[in-house]
Amino acid sequence: MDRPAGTCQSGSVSSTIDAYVTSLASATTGRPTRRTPRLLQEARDHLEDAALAGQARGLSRHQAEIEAVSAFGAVEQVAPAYRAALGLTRVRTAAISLLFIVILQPLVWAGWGYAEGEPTATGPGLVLNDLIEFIGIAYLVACPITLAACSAALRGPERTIMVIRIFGGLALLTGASVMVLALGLNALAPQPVDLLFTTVVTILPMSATLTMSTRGLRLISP
Amino acid sequence: MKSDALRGHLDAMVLASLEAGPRHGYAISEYLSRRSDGALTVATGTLYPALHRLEKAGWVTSEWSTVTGRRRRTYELTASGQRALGDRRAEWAQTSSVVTAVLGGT
Repeated sequence: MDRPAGTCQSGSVSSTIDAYVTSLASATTGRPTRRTPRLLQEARDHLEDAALAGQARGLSRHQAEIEAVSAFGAVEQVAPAYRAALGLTRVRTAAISLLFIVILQPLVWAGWGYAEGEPTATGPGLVLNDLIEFIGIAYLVACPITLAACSAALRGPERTIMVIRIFGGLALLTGASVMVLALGLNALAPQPVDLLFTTVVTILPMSATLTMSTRGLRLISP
Repeated sequence: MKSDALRGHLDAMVLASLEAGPRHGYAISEYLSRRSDGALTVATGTLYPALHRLEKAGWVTSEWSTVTGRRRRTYELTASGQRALGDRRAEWAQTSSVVTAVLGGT
């Protein structure tokens, strides 16, 4: 819900903090989001705490907010770290979501084949089917290893960007490959599978992970 | 103190701030300021992305809690984070003794 200009969540006048958080949000996400990322909520909470502490020391509300914002750091100074943190959250979520999707895919397709009595793929369709299975198995092996390696890498602050590129690239490459191959398999099958089923089971989940990883990677692009 | 000199040590100082028990972000920045007698001039805004990274690395956990009537994200050191803090302390003790010995000039 929109709030009147110059008021904060608690209802007090907070134009400086509001302006700062709005500016940080814009520099971080680059666009309005449906919900406030946790990082930005914490930034606002911190600024409110700092302003209240300043008031307790005898500063006016306005002076206390200016001091709080100044100590927090200029938007240009802190925004890159916020973008990296949000990017990391997005690509990591995308990679883990994709892991579950890859695990569930064979089960759902096997269930569909059993229910519909689908004939086994032949010729080029068989090749595509084998490719999808290979990519799925490779991802099942690579994702947990990457998760463990990246958790270790995150113990050094300078490696965050590298971790985002690895997670994002892995999810992007796997999701796009499986999506394209699944469409090809559908087109080449002796009796094409219901496109709606393919869309719901494969295309939509893959698209969601692709979107999430692309957004994460975009946050760290120059 | 120049923030460049602190680069690489912020993680260890954040972990140390949580050793006595869970704290929210503002309390962590207050701890760092108080313990350094205000000498740490690092932008406090960089603290939160660092906390998120340490959480994903498994060194801290966090949860929303209500502190003095306000909802805040509270961070807590994990067992793995405690071990990491011990390692960083040992590294720092070794580094500082070497640098002090060289810069001592006698």
